[in-house]
Amino acid sequence: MSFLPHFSHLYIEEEAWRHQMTDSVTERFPRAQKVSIQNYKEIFNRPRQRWDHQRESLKLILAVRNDAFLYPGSSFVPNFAHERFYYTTPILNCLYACEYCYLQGMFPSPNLVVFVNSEDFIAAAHQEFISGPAYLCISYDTDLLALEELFGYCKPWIEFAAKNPHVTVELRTKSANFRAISHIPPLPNFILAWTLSPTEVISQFEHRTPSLEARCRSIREAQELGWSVRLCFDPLLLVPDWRSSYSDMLRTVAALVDLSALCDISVGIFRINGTYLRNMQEKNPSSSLLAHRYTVENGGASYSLAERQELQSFFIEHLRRYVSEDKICPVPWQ
Amino acid sequence: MTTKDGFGSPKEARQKPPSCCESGGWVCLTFPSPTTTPFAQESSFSTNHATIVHMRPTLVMTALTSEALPLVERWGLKPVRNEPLLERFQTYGDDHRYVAISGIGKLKSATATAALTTALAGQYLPFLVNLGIAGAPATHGAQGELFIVNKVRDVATNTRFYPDILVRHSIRESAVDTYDHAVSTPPSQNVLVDMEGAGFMQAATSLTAPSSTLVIKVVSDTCTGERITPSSASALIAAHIESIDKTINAWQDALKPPAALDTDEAALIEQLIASARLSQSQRTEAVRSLISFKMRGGVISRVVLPLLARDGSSKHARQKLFEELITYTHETGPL
Repeated sequence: MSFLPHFSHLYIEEEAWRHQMTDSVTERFPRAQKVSIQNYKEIFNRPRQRWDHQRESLKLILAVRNDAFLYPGSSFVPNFAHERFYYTTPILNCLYACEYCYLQGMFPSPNLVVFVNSEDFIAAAHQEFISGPAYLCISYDTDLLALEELFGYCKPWIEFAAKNPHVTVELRTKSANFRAISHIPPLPNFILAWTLSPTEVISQFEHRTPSLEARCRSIREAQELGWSVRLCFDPLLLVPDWRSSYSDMLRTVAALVDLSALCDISVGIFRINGTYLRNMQEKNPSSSLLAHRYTVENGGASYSLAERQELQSFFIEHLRRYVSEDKICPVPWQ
Repeated sequence: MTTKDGFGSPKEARQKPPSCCESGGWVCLTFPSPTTTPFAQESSFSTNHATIVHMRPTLVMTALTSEALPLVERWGLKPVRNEPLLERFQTYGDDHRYVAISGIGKLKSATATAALTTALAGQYLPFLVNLGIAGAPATHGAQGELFIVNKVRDVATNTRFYPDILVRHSIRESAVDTYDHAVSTPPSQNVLVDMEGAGFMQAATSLTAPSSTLVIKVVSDTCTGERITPSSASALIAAHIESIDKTINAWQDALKPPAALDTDEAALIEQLIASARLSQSQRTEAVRSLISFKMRGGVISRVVLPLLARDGSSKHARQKLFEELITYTHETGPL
């Protein structure tokens, strides 16, 4: 006997029943068990949940967010020279199960919480950014593009970007699902940021994600339609034979993607909040990636200085063979 | 809802063996010592070695003897005795499966669940099941219908519990409302009605993971004050015993802990723990460090074998050995 399929159960906040997105999701999963809840936290924040059990059969929690629509950006992520840097979390958690992902350290459960009042998030952004330029990441604690066919969250944010040209919106993804938004006209201030990794890293650590080639095909399609595309080689990992893995990946990417048309390329070494790393090690003691002896400094964990320097200089040196220096944005590790 | 008076109380039932008892008399079973292994908690750590890792036991809680007997018989369990903490509850078991009778009501269910869970905890807390009869309005469930419960509500406090439903099954699901008293008027909502579910979940989820709990109910009445006899309660459960057995086994199999060490590695570590006379916390740290060391590509025998050859006769020597083990496994090992 095996696990139930993902989204076999929909836990629905009483307040969420009134929203149109709830209707469309329940129609999409007609056979799912629907369980009424009062607040998403009573199921998402239960103590002693087992990440390894729950990830085998993810549940969907439909909720309404009443505050905290925008957060200031973390010091662990690049702000691309924008002083006002924010992110928003319309969905908590991700379909993908990357072993290095900080979500495992941050959240008590891998179940997806979807806030069905997307209009309130957009309204809050309108209000906040009325005063001037800003940079907004909409897909940090999830992968919105991978989920677009279910929740349609990308489209209203693209419309928001169209009405607010002074706000740069970044949609970060590992998905190959560009076709879900390919019918929408591109915007210069809406950046599709694809995270790419070597095939060996994808197969070993980025569970359930599309292949490198599939991601590259999606990127190419977006480029051909005129979208602004960023590549994120982040996190770089010290896997066995990492030199050949990363140089092979760059060869593949250069063959499939128009590197000259990119807005920029972000390069970051694996780094994570030290507390999150401890939580992740506790949840997944069999992970060779998490068992590495990381250096912890000022609350952040990463490879040792020597390892970081070696990995980063090797990668950037190889990247320079394909793109000009000014396109490369190394991300400081802290 | 079922009025459960008139059932054989656990105390009465303890006076004589159940008919299913093969020996026809009381048999003493050995319980695992409480909390004697490294991780008496919900942990992902596991090895294959019997002494480092006890197989996670299953504990099925029922309110009544009549609810327990069909499963006791199905599994061929024998009454368990000579365990002071468990003497208060009528418990049947073999080496890894236990069925216990708490008595009626959520407080009794919570007390028994907490006590027995603690008593049975080895490296892993038991997989906890609540099995019993429940009432249902006629619009919701027919007498004899089997349900898996996905939401338990304590009606008195409006506290809600959600057992994780992760494993494929073909049983209808429902919420259950737990009352402090027998219910003789059908609830307006489509829910089951019982007197133990919330107590069981309160205790279970304060100790173990929501994915390690399972609540199974069979509809006994339509909440209109019918009287259910012990034999009819047994018959209702017995009619579904194959399905109940299959479901419990499927849950247990699907959620078993992953093995991080092979048998030889676990045996070596066990030898080291014994020879160095490691304390409980030292055991935990040693096993954790060695698994992490292995995941980084380290070879466990290369660390443990030299330490086993060392003199561990004095407390000081044993402490030094432990410290060296931790230092080595933290600082050494290939990428």
